[in-house]
Amino acid sequence: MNSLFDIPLAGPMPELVLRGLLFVAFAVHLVFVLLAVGTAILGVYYFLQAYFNRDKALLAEESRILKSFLAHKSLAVVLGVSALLLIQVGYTVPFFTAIHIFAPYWLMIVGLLLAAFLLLDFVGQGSLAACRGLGLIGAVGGLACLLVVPGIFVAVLSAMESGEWLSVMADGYRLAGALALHWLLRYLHVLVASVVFAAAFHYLFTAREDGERQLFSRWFTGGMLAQTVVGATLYATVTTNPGPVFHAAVIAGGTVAALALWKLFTSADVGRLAPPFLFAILILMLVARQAAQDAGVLPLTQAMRAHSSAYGKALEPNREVALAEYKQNMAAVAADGASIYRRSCAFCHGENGDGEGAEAMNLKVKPEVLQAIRGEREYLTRKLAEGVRGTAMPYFSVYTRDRVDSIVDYLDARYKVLGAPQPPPSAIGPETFAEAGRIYAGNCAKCHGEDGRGGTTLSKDYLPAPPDFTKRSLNAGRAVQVIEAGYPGTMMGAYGQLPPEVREGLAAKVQGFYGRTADSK
Amino acid sequence: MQFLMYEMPYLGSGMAIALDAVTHVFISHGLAIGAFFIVLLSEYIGYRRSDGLWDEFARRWLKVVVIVTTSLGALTGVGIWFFTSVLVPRGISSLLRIFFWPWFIEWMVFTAEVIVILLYYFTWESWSGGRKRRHVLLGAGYLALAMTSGFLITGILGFMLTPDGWPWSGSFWDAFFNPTFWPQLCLRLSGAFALGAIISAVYLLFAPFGREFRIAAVKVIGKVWLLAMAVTALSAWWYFAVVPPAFKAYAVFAVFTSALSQYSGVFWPVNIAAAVFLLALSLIALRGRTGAVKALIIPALVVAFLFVAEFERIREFARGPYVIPGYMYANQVLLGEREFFREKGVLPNSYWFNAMNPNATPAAEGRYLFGQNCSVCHTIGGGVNDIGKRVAGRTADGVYVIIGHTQEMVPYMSPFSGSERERRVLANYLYGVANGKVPALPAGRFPAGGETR
Repeated sequence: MNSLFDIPLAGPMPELVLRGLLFVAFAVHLVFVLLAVGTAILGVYYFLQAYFNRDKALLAEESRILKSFLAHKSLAVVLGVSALLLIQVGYTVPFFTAIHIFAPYWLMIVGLLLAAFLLLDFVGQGSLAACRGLGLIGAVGGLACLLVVPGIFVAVLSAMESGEWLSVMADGYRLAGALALHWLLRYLHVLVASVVFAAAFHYLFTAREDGERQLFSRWFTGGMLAQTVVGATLYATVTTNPGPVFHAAVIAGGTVAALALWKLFTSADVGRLAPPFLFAILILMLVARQAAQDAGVLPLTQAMRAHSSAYGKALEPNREVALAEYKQNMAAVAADGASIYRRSCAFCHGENGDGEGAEAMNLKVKPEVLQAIRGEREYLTRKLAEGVRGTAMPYFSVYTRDRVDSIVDYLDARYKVLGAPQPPPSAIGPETFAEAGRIYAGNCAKCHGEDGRGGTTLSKDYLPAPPDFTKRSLNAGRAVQVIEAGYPGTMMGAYGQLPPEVREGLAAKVQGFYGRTADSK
Repeated sequence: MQFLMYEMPYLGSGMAIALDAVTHVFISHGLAIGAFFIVLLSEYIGYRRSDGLWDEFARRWLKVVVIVTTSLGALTGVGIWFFTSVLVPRGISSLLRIFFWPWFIEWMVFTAEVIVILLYYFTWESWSGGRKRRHVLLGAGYLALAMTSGFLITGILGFMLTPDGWPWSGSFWDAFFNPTFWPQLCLRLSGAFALGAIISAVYLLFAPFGREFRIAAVKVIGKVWLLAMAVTALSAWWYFAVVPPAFKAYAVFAVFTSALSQYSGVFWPVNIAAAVFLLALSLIALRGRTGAVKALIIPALVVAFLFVAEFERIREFARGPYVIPGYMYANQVLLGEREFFREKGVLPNSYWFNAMNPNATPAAEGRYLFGQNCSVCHTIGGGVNDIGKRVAGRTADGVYVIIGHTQEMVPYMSPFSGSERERRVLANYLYGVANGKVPALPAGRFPAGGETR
């Protein structure tokens, strides 16, 4: 991974400060995430209990727990913003790699939270309580959506801390083996923590009488017990060695948790016990998490940062040239025919419309000699807007109609493309003209049609298609040239064996189609 | 590029971000600022006139505003970030570094905003009577914070269109107070009040309220609407006067796209007609004609939404080939990096591609080059702005030539980055895809190259 590198822009603050801020931001965010998830679990549990007891008064009462969800989730979201900002700046490549590995799930988070928030809030704020069925769907659906989200975040963090990105990708963008077990236990650890936090919160702030406090106290104690078991298993299944800080923090956290349980069983008051103990356990566990993350990716992150600053310096000489080009591009406004032609057309058709642009040599079907083209406005506009299939000519509907019109105007001002085609220099005698007519009917008409419109049985699938001579023509000089040498890269062959005056006669014959309508003969 | 890529299936990156972002703008401007202002104004009128009906309207409307802004509003906002993190990682990471401090301050303001609106919501009943004045002031505090959020975000949005001297100086103040900052701030704030009036009128007229009250309230809403709309129109004119001509040149195309670009003549008639319609309805509201307003308010809401979408589309599209003008192209290649890629090639320098494809076929290379150069705007294998359709009909050598001139030919398209060999590989790949000779690997995570999930 030595050739991976970070963003070549300086970070906003010293790394240690950034990591410290991230620690604090993440801790505060997590507290409200736990409160929101736990409140949703407890709230929906009691909502369902009341719902199936068919007790309307109780139902309204029970959505009281959910009422505080509005505040918890709002704060969880805003407080998450700082954590997201800091982790993206401090651990850029590891974090972006991890979210990319789970990209489809990562993108689902927004939709899942949206559904969860709207549904649970409408239940919690009493707007769906009146309609029982909707209330049920809102509560259950909202909770289901909500519970997926911590699972995704835990997966992202597990993948990120592991540093084993290539193997996760090789496993089909899934966590497998030990990582999968780690994820599962960690996810459970988060869910149970949320119940513990929410139980403490509601014990302290929403319970109205002792009976309710009793219930929350039981949730709290049961949660703490379960958390100890899940946490111990999680710790036992850690396969890497993230260093002494990690182990010390986990053991200290476990000891504080055991102490809390002992105090709970010797009948201490949950209200007094929970805040200091939960705070201590949360901080210790987050220190452990931070230590694991730093052990997994910090050396790599630092190496990438050094590499990216070297890369930035290596690009420095190019920057001047690039900025000069940028300035030039900003000064070039593609709003009129002349400037559009210079930028968009000239590299094939040439500055002078001679079909000799710099790229012409790379094309089998040579660019048209625009100087010699004559066409009806509507026809030329359509060709510009749609392009010509079977050639390099792209469609210029990448410009608005007025711009396309301005290109035609520009070509007309410069080459008179809307005017009449220039006839052959000398008049064609009637016999030559008749001869040219016979040759046209015998050879050319197979592809170009008796009427000069092209699209015959033979040529209807040709790419590029023969042009419609009634709408588009060529100056005689150019027409003779095409007849003589053919049109390279197309089915139009060379007829250089014909005598010069016949070629001119053919040019005149073809020009004769120009401007004819369907009924004129 | 040293980030993994993810392509949004069917929608493509741009459209996915746009759908989320436009919804966010509508909520954050229309509800969090505009509709909240109507709530606050109504509470104030109720307080001054001791009129319970105004207070009741404000309280009920606030509940909807709070639920929707703290869920849909907040999440679509964070959603822009979630989407860009996956779809344009290098662009968003760079912006985060250039604008770290505004972003950080914005976070503090955002947090304060949420705390204050929650306090305001939960204290509606307890802070009544003698404490009502304090409650109104609390609401005013929230509004000030919400507008501060707008101030901070506008600096970043404006920068993405008009970075002014920043590419040369690297100065933060050049970047933040860029030429479109002030006009855009005026436009967003006045637009927010106009939107808020329209959305509030919908609630007023469709939720159960008495006839007398509706007439009185719709007149007040009409006043806010008319005034805000007038300022919005002036600010829009000011804003577009400041946008560089090179960018403004694509404004109309931004709205019509190549699908409808040849009907662009209707741009002004339609826009003017829509604005006149909104103006006329505000005058009808001002006269207290609840029936007429009710009949036309939903179309007005749709028109307002379309105006928001149109503006954001123009603002996002007009910066054309850049995601950060003067620094980074839309496909996340740095301006200064293009020469490097021309000499050394993209593929040899892509860590992920080489790690995942030790024996890459030309098709895998082409697919990766497409992902890296084009997929920020184009989809492959069917979807919005499908590259297969874009290339269809062109010859292989034509595709090759076009790839080398994207920026000249189509001024809002990023130039190709890569070596001469890579240009040929991409051309052959795209030609193959357009003609059904090479299977178009669907969107997904790259650099899987030969294989995607």
